Amino acid sequence: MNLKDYKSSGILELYVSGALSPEEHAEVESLISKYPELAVEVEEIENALANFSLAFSKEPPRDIKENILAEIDILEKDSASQEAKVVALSSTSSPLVKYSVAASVALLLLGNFYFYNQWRSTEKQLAGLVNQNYKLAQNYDLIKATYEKTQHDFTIATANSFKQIEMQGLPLYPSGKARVFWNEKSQETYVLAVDLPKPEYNKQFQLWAIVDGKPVDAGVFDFENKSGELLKMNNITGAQAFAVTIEPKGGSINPSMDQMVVFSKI
Amino acid sequence: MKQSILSEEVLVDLLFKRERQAITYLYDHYKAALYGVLYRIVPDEDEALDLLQDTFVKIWKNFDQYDPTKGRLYTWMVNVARNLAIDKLRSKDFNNNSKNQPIDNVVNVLDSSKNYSINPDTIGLKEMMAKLSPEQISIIDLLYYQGYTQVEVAEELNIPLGTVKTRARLAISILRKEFDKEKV
Repeated sequence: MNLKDYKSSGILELYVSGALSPEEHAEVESLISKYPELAVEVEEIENALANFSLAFSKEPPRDIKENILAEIDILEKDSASQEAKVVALSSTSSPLVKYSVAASVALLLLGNFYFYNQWRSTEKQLAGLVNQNYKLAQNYDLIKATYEKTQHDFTIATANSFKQIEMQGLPLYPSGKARVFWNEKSQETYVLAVDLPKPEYNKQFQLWAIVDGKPVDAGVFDFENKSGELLKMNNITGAQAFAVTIEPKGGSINPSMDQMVVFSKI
Repeated sequence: MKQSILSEEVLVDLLFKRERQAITYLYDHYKAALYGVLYRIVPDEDEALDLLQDTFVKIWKNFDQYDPTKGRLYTWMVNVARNLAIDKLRSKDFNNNSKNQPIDNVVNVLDSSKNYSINPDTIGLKEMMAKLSPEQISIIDLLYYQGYTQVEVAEELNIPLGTVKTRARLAISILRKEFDKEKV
């Protein structure tokens, strides 16, 4: 069996996502148990997706810790009392029964005491952890703002209402790449710089929309804006194409055609 | 998580020993991560909260099924959460008009409460977003968070069935590369 081809097919990615039919799923599962190499691959896929999911962290609206602990306590108590019951039931009417009953009662009482003590020590630890969390939270204010922006960008990137227009590099900068996210209805426009050259210190990038054959200013932006961030630009109607030029700081009224770095069509 | 107060080994050990403080620790440190995953799949606060409770209880209950040699604790927990949520998603009436829901829900996620907690391990997300095409983001979203099957993804994105696999592999391989970079 050619494991390399099997992995390249992407079937393991579907398996991890749970997107296969029950038969296909079972088939892949048996192959994984047969070939450790596949198990390693599956683990790496799972880790990557799990890591990705951390980005969507969201504080629960309510604290349900007590609910969880209460439910766990019931589970533990049930299993403890099951054992006690077995002790009681397994004997017939003999002095042993009396001892068994006493033992199970003692076990339950002990259990309650145990959980009570656990609860108290947990409360103390909780206070310590809450304090630590508070300090961590303070340090993360900047990161939080960054994160919220990223969430916002993700929303735009996945929304149907936003058209995505790729801009390709021109001879001035052949590897150039940028993307415009344009909402035709609301006219909102964002630009994402993927690969643009660093302009001189007194220059900036300017985004243009071609409307009715004429260039319309969509705003300026800087190289320092890190790649991966969507930059909000001017609202635009009726764009036929987009382009980015290098202009003096503050932008120009008309685009410098020889300073065009990327260009697209709708 | 790099800044854990308890190392993963210690935490796992405590959980195997059924130490109650371990589940408390898990809750404090992972409630936001797991709630986020659950809410992404079932975008209803109350449902997601129920699922969060179910998730932690199930983690506790089934902990003897966790095999540390087979993967990270967090990955296992995310799987528990995801499976519960996708079961819920498939069982309810969600699916009757849900084919358009996922994309709309992405917008709703932003509009509703902004109680996002932060995780520094994910700062690389920005760089990752630039490297993924919109279709790649959709594929991961539909497959992993919306419980779509191969066929449903092909229909939704209007691509041939055979290419769903290969595009998913490419998208996830980009994630893997980015995360490997961070490890160094």
